[in-house]
Amino acid sequence: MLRGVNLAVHPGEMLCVLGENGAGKSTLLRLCAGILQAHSGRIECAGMQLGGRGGLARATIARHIAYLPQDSGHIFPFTALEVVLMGRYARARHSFETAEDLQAAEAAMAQTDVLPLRHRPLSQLSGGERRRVLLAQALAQDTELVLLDEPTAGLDPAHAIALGRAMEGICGRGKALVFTTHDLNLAARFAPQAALIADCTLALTGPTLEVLAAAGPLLGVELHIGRLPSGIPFAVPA
Amino acid sequence: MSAPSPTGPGPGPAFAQRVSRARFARVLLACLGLLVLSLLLSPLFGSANIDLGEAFNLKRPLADNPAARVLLYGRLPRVLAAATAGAGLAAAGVAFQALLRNPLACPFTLGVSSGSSLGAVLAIRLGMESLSVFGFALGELALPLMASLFALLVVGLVFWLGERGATGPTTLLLSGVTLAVLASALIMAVIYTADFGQTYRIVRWQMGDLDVMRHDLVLRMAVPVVLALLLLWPRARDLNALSAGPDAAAGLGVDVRRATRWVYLASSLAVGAIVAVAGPIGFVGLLVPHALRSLLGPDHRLLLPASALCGGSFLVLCDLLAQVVARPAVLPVGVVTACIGAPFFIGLLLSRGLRAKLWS
Repeated sequence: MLRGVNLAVHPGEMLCVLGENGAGKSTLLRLCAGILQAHSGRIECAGMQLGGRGGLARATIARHIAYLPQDSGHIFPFTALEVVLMGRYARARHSFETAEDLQAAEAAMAQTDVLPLRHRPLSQLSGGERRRVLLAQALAQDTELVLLDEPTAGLDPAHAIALGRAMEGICGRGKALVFTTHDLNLAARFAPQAALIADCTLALTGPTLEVLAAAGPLLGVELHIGRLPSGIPFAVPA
Repeated sequence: MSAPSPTGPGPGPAFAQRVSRARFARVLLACLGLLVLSLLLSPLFGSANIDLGEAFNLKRPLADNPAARVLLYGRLPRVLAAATAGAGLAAAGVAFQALLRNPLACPFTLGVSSGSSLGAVLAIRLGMESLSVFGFALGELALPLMASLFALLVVGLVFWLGERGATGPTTLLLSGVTLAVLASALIMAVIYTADFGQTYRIVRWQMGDLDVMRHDLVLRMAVPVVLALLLLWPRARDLNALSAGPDAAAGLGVDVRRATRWVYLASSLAVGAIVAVAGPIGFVGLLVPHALRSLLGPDHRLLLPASALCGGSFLVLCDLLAQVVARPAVLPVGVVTACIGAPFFIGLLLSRGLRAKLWS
């Protein structure tokens, strides 16, 4: 259903993918992560040919691209640290994590501000804390590209902003980050670049405020875009 | 130890302990010790009293020593069979729970044991033991082969249901119950058409006990079970990731299709082999993993081998109970596991606090 999508995101950049429900945002991310296979044609991401015959092994892809699905939840009470350590799956050479893995995991947790929670079961954390733990897991994967599907879905404004800051921190470390969202304010505030998927293809791409300015008709609402006195941009349905 | 959390109960010590090489060795050594202890002690008791001093009297030839013969040919294979079956069922329970992301999944609740029984019953009814395939006589292998094949079929069906969204605990349980009812109806149909000799064998086999065990029967069960455990163990890290869902696991670098296929294959192999030899034994795959998860935490690298070892000890002890509780009669071991497992299972369904400790 998606065709001819070509997106560029460079190291240290953040790009958000916008679109209506069912537009294919999640599909795009899963294709980029090599989890879905294309019906036809080729998928290339981070210079790697993904999927199909002769496709790369999953572990190889996971050393370059980290992907967090929207509904990631452990049913068993793993601690936050155990969950972040799972991010080392593709890098660990042994079945037990080394001191190096532990260091990487704790550094990632410090980065997303969840280090004090490391011994708590994931299931006992709030939604926002859980997302930041999972973000740390993606960070511990130590990849060039991080793909996040709806990272702020269901979060209250304070947690959404905390997550946005953590995402900025990841880009500050030279990683490229792509996320999908319905939260236009979050997109306007944190992502310098945006892409809008509509009618099964890439409809708009460019600086986020410009994309948002033209996005109204494609999203089915009239958007009012402006800046707060503090300079923070916003986008609200008029 | 971590500080207690501001919300809800503080995490237990198990949660603060990551699975390290040292802890892994320590815990498994303890579980192994428990298994060895139960293997050594259990044969000393039984439905009949034997003179233990006489049994270990090495001066007396074996042919002339009834006590030693009871120990060696009656009790030892029985204990070894219980250990093997318990290990396989508990490990399969752990694997099913992680793969289906369902804490109530086990060979019994999923209907795998029932399906496997149907395969075994069909093998008896169709006289498959006298068949030969490509010039190779099936013989006594017909029953385990059919049981394993049917276990695989049911697992395939469960997997197919899961792919279509039927993954919730209740949905899966209901489908398991449905499959079990269907299997027992079909078994009855098979019995109806069977002759007297076959019917007797089917009914006797269905009682699911570890009586009349022979050393070669134990070996026939142990080889596939050990093979299955060896196949499952390297997948423990995959199971950790898979318990967050297939997409999340794939994002971490797990080859989801391959891991899923191997885990299903290995679990079905184990369950099929166990059911074929020992008949259907319930609840081991549910009780042992949950008990250990609450003690050791959910990491499958530790949980899987620990469950296998403790599952073995558990069934050995249950079988011991089965022998001594109604002396001189010997109960089928399935009766004992059900009497312990059913209250545990109902408690699990009722207790919110217990549930919160074991899964989210």
